[in-house]
Amino acid sequence: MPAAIVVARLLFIGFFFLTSLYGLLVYTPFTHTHVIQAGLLPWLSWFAHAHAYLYWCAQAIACATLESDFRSPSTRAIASAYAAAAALAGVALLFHPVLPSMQNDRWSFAWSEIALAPPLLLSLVDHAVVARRMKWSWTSTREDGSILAAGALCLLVVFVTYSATFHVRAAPGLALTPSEEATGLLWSFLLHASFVGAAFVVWVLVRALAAWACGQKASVEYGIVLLLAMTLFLLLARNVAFSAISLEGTAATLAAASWAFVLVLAASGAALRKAAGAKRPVESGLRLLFYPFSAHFGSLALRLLWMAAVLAVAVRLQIVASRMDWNGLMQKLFACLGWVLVFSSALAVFPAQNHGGGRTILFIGAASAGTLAYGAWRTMGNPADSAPILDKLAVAEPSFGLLHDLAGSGSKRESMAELFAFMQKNTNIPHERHIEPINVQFASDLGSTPRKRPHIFIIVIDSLRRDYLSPFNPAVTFTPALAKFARASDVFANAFTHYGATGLSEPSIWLGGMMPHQQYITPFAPMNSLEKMLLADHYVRMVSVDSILTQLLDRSAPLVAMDANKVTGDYDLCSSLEVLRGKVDARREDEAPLFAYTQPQNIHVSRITREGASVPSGAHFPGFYEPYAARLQRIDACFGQFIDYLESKALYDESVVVFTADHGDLLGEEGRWGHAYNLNPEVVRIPLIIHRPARLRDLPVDTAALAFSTDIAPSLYRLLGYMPATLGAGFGQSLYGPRSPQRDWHLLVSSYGPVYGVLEDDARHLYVADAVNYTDSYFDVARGSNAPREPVTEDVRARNVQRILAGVKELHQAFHVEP
Amino acid sequence: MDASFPEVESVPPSIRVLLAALGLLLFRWSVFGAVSTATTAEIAAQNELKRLIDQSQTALRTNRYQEALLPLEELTRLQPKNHVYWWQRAIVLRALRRPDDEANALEQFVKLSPLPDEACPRLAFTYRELGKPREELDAFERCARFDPNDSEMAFYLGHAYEMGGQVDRALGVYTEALKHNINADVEAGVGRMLLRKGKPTEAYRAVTPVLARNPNNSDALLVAGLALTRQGKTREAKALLERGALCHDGSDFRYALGVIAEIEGKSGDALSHYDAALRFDPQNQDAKRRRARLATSRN
Repeated sequence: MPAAIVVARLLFIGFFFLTSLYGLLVYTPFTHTHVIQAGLLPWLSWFAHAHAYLYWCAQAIACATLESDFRSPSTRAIASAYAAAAALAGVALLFHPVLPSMQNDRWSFAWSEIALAPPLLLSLVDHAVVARRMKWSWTSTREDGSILAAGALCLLVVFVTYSATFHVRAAPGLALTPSEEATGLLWSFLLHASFVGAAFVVWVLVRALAAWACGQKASVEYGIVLLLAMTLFLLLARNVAFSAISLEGTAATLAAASWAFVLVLAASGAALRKAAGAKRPVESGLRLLFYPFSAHFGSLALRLLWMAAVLAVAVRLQIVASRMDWNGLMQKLFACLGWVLVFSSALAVFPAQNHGGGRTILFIGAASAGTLAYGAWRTMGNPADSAPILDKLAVAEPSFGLLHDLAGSGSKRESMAELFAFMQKNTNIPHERHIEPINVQFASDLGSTPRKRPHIFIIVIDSLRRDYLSPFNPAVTFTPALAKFARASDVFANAFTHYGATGLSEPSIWLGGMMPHQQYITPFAPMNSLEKMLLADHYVRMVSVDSILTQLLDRSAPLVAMDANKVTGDYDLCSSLEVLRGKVDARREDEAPLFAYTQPQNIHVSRITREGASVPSGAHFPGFYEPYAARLQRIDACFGQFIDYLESKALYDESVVVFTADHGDLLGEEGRWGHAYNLNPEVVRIPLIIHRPARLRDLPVDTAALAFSTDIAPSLYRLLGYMPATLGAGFGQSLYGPRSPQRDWHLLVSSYGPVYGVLEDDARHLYVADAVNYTDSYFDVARGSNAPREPVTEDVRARNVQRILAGVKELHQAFHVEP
Repeated sequence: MDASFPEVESVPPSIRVLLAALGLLLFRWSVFGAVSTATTAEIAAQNELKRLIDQSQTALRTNRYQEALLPLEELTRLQPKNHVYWWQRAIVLRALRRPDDEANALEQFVKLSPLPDEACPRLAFTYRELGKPREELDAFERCARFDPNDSEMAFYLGHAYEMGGQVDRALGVYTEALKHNINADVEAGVGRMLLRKGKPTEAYRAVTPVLARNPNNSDALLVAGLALTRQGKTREAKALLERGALCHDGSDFRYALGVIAEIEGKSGDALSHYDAALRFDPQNQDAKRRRARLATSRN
């Protein structure tokens, strides 16, 4: 099969798998909100809108690959039938484009399955066309030597490449000594060798089973290889890819099985087409399946060059993905792709030769040498000594990271199975499980405030870290306006969010408390305590209605939507404040007070990546992540101008200004970026600064006390003159005036996946149980993620596991959620 | 398909399956097998702890307390939050008669143990031994807080108040304790306090149930005897006190009998009772004073 046809088939398959993925992203509640609705990936939105037209391109490409079938009388009918079916579906799509109108319901899942029909049909055409022409021979162990050699070359090349990339890119930032790095890489090599060895042993087993059962027929061996490939792909898709986007349960298994089945069958179709045209009969099922991915051309030097090019692309993709990844998912998948392509290329370097056979014992021994060395070191050495190094290596080096996850999560998965299952069951609760909204009522006398109502401005900077602001970190010099703002405001030194990531953090600010893990309980209005107060007190609401607030706010009441012409990912504080200034200018003196809320995305990791992590020329921020600090400097200037504007209009001392974040972020600590499933101290600590008018400064406040973003709503109640009720654990309390005693631990949760935390010891320690990666950790909050983690002793684990169970049950009780 | 069968492998498929299965078992052991999760430093620390525990236990088994103390001191230094080591250290310090250090060890135990009441009332008595009444009282108060339903602790606390002359507080503690449990010592305590508050009738009524349950309860007999004496019922009082003296002869009974003998005008009997009281307790000031007065009047 010419290379052009391989490329064409890859494009065709890629198109339909992307279509299927789009369906799954719409089907999963949180990706629907935060990827699709938020326009997180602009190219994906474009893809959905152009889908009906791109479909024709994809099918045209597929039909072009069937050119020889159209010519041959014996296969013309089947090829024509495929083309006709494809055209019919294309016409239907033109009249009724599916993707742009997909809703978050079961139909989106159904469409994701239907999207796999074209590659499935095409692979069936391939199989039907070549079935009669295939020539199968006998298999033989004489090939084992070259398979083992190809595996060894693949191991060496992949290990060296990924280790070198790690050494150059990540190691300097991880504060590893040369000996620690060498130790880590030695573990990495042995683990890679163990998996490569095991893969070879599985191959021997498959071949021996085939020979044992059916007398060494190559066709039987090929069948077993296909089944094995499907199983491996199913497990990878189900446990690595889909769990990372919170697609769980039966739907995940079904989707993974469909993907595995169709993908392997499509590869098989392409492989069989090539084999059918060859003069020699097929002798190796393994080589046959890998054939479409390998380079059977030119000299040995060219083949090696091809392998190097493949690796370079895989590493480049990893580097691009590393700054905006989803729990390292893309990096790990690119590593997998790298392994497959490099192994395919290595097979081309070591063609099947008659090595004489009879060396099975020798080969199994050689393949198991690395496994034995790894096991011996684990048993006789003290692997816990290397654990902190390996954790860092696993995050920054995806090839090792994937294997480390596979190897390391087993015991935790067993010992903490009950908790992990509980967390998974109660996270991303599907909409099929209806949760009736409760009435969250901090005050029963709304609308009767005796005080003059202040204007309220809430600015929530998405992903803002407190240690990048001068009021919280004296080393920061690039936020002078915030420093000035903080001098005359209440700076809460010990503020946290209950939720990592925006999905539930933003709703919790409006609700004034935690909620069951569903995106979202609707109608949200009965629970929206902040909005209730604004409506009761006749505020003029001006809100940047992002993809989350669209689902939460009461749009039947008057609301001025700021940034209405932008997707959420493009929200910019400077332009939002500019719009706000215009609204304030246009306001009459006698009008109701103003309420403004905006959540700009200037420093969100996806935005920074989209902008190429650029830094203005000449700008330097030593000791800080420069693209982030540079954007923050701009935000600071705009915020300062807005405060100056309020002062010039004599509105500043009539306003409550809240400056905070929905959550923090990881900016390379332990090699990690972003906040998706991370509940590290840097993610859950937030800045919180509140300016209140002089006439409201009589209320006592303890700025050193523990505060949460859920306290903002009840605090505003108090500043307006209400006496907000204490609603219990998980709900906020006013930061002003006397506070009820709180218990000594607090539940934290990732918005997107089953990752739960417990803040304890007066917020000095943070325990995190992670049912995405099947690990648990214990942090010293003040020292952060760069310091070595605290040991998770049995006491720490037992105590906090009980708290997570109790905290979730308590929350569900408050919201009348059935257990 | 070729008719020939080009197999050159000398190992039959069944053996290859077996070998491959062994290879996979090796992989499972190597990659997923359970291994120690302790670091080298933790293992060394554990070994050191084990050595110290063995050393202290061996010495304790043969009552070589001085020898046991050194490893226990090291254990409490290495594991300052382990209450068990503090408890053992307290045991050794008691045996070595070092009450000051024993009290410190018991204080640590109380702070760390999930069952701090195990150190009660020993901690308070250690302070008593050291002549630190304020600390003693504080220890009794803490002990009573550990388990408010424990009438024995309530009795100790009440008694400590009693010894300190805090009659109302002692009466309060005794009365509260009786709401939870019936306890003869506490009931007698109530009687004593009522006596001291000048309420002999109520005092007698307080100890009557005790005597109904146990006619030979010496504390109740003493309270009842004194109460009846103060009510002028010397004959009944004398009978109860004599029965008390028969059960548990002591300075208080002899003194009370001496007083009754004086009332009855039997100065000789009174003198001999006072002498007996002073033999039991040479510090009994009341007996001393009365005996001196009686001896002077007889002379």
